[in-house]
Amino acid sequence: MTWQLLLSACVSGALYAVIALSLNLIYGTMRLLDVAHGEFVMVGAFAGYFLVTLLGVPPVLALLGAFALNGLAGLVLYQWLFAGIIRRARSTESLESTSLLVFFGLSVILQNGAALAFGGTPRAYERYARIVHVGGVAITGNRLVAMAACVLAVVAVLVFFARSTWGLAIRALIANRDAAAIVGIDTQAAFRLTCVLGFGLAGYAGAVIGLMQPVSPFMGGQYLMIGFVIIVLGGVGKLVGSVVGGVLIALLETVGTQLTGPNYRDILIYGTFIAVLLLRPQGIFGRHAA
Amino acid sequence: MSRRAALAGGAATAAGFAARRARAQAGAPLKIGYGLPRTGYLGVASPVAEQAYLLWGEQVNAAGGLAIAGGGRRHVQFVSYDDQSEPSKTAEIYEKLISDDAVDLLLAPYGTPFHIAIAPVIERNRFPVVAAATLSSLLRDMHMRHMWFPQPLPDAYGVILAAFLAAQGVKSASLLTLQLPASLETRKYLLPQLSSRGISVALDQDYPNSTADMTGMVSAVRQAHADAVICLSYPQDSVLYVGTARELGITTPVQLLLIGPGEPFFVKKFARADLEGILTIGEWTPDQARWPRARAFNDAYVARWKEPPDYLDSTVSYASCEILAQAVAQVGLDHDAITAAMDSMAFDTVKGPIKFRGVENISTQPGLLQFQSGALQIVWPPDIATARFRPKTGWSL
Amino acid sequence: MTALLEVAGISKRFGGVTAVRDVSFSVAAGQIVGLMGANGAGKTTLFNLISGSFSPDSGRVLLDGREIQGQAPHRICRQGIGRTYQIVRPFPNLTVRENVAVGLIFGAGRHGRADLRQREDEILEETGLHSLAGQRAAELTLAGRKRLELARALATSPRLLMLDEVMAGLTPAEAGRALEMLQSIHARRGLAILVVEHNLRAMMQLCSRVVVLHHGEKIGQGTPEAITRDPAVIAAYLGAA
Repeated sequence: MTWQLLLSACVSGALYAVIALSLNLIYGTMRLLDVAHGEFVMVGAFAGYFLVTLLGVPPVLALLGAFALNGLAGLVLYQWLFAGIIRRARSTESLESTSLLVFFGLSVILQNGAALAFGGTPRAYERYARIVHVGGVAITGNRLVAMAACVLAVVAVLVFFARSTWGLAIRALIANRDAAAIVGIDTQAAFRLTCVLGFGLAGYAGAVIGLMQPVSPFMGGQYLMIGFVIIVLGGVGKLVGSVVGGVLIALLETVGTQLTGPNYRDILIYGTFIAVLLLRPQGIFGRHAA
Repeated sequence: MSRRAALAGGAATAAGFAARRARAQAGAPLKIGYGLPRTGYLGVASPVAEQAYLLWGEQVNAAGGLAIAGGGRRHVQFVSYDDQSEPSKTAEIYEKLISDDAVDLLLAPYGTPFHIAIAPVIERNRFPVVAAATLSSLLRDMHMRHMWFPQPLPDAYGVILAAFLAAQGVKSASLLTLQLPASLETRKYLLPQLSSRGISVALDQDYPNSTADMTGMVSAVRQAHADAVICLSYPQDSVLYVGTARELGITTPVQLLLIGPGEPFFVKKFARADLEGILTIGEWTPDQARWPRARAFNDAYVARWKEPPDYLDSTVSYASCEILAQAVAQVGLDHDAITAAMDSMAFDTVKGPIKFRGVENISTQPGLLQFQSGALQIVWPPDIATARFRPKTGWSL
Repeated sequence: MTALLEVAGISKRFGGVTAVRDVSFSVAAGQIVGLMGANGAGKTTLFNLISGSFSPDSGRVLLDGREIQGQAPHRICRQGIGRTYQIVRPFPNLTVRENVAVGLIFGAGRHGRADLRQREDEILEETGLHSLAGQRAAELTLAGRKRLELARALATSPRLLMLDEVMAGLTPAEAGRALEMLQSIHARRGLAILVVEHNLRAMMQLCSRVVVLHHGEKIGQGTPEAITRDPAVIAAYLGAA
């Protein structure tokens, strides 16, 4: 049973890690307080759903399709909306407060737009539904596929940031925007790339959720909360912190509630969140800025 | 009328009292108001109710309008607002519908807390409302004078569920209860019924709405080895339960989910073999031949919305419109006359005959539905059953 | 011969305050020029105007005779102007080596990955950071971070290096070593340096020419010796110090 719980925690943890990574890219790099992130996840979930059910795309490819569609939307939104907000902001604080309002508006528009376009009722499809036995543990195929897809995405993102030139540029940008510019980094280009990656990954995560659960215009809220909790746990701009934080939250949710009781879920998650805010405001893995 | 048009209708400016008098002339549309959660946490659940309202309105208008005693027929026009899943907003909305929009009739909001929220408003205004999507005996026991409940309520489901379990020879049951009103109330009324029938409770666990993983709980269900699993769930966690029970191989022959299996998306999420044998509450199927209008309603709904109706919320919402329409046809638009008619009349609905005593529907027998060969059949009580109960035989691999 | 850098009549206002007013000066290739002035004289603003962090309200900045004022900072960097900040801003979450690599890859050199490691090593040796290469920048001492700031600027292959108080906050011994390092870098690379420094002795040793700012305006320029005897400079700046 322990193994069953741990495997379940790994499925949620991998998903949470992707969501937190994507949110951390948007917030950590550009300081855009993206409270519409859950809605971007929702849009990706619908993209995945329609790719699979209307166009007959294999779900695994639909994940990439959702990434591409959301990434493109992120790019367009950057050019059309975010670039101006970033340019006009006088300080990080004013950027955060302005972007909070903009993203709040976006979240309302996306949610109501989706409800008008697709109807408010949940939609679901069934794929990879066979039960797979891993050691002594039984797991539905779609959850295994979802976990593998998330692990792959996390590894790809971390390798990209650790090894690639542009990954290095974005990490530098996360640390200090002005300093990145004066050593020759084209911050606009890096922000565009960040938007493609960040919003694309949110869409990818949404399509992964659609593999396992019904999708609806109102599904985003819970993932936004989880995303911000994990970012605070792992540290703003700390990508590895988001991955570890995602797994930690999933363990609290699955194993923690098994040890205490289902009603302790929120107490465990938000209790840990508040404890970290009080004791280590820079996050478990964050360090004080130099 | 499309959803978009309904929203536009909600934005229409209020008519004054003068306008109301003018409209009383034949030909002006009849204004019918309601508030529903189009956004917020219930936004996902309410469309099945609103679609029933909208379908009913379209059908009435296609037939030349709503028949009014002594006044011919008038087209209906909906005035509706989004309560954003906040009961306090619902109260304001119904206040506004009555005073500013001067609607002629009201339809029910969505969900128990929202029915509770409008109670003082409609009582003060003596405005009759037929309740729809609410599962609350507590609400019924508030003894309102202007709200009636066509849907069987948790205490009634508690009684028949225990009777059903006893009839299947169940000696022990595991209970999982979501911490939301319909689930908690059902548990409250079910527990004494179980004990009076000698059915022991092997596991009694409640869980919060935020639950995203049920592995731990369903493992406990497996270890409890009860003869029945009663999961008092809402749609989202009904999906979680089925996925997890399948992974953990819960082979209990009786497995019931409170709300969810009757919703259209549910059958798309799982293979037929996995749906097979799952029980839920409800006493309506289009296959119930004794209610001839059930099939016609189902087909019209599918044609209009490209998905089947929800077996609970869509049908009771549609029935609430029918009840109101039949009262108006009999006594006209006077609110006190409609209130009196609710006590005296017998109604014919897609859910079969409905008769109120006090505020409660004494005609409709609460029932249980079971997936058999991909469709929901009434399996309990025997006198309205459309099929015999079949024990669940496990899951597909 | 045209100067490497030419600043011509440049001005910048913030709200009602004029931070820099009609300042002109030039830096020849390979020359070290000092920028002097009390706090608030406009030295850092001038740096920001040249490096592209701010756009001037009027006036021009020319590099090799080509106008660069108003361009984005990364473009100016790629044309050969590197700088440090008075309050150091290395990338704390990156290692020392990665900090240098960013400059090498994205700066004027646009170095590919082929001989990156070797070039990193060269710069780390040159700035005495080689033994700290694997450490995260946040873990360095202030002196270490100042050197890293310099190393990162050098990595962008500048023809003009602008140093904003690289010795401030250092102990006299550390400052002495920093001075030696600057002199040897200048000797080896032959680049031009525009330097802001409060340490007058260091300025005198380093610079062949000094420009003096006061309340955003240029009030004098010349050799260090001449400047220390200039009555206007003494009245405005040295006298006040």
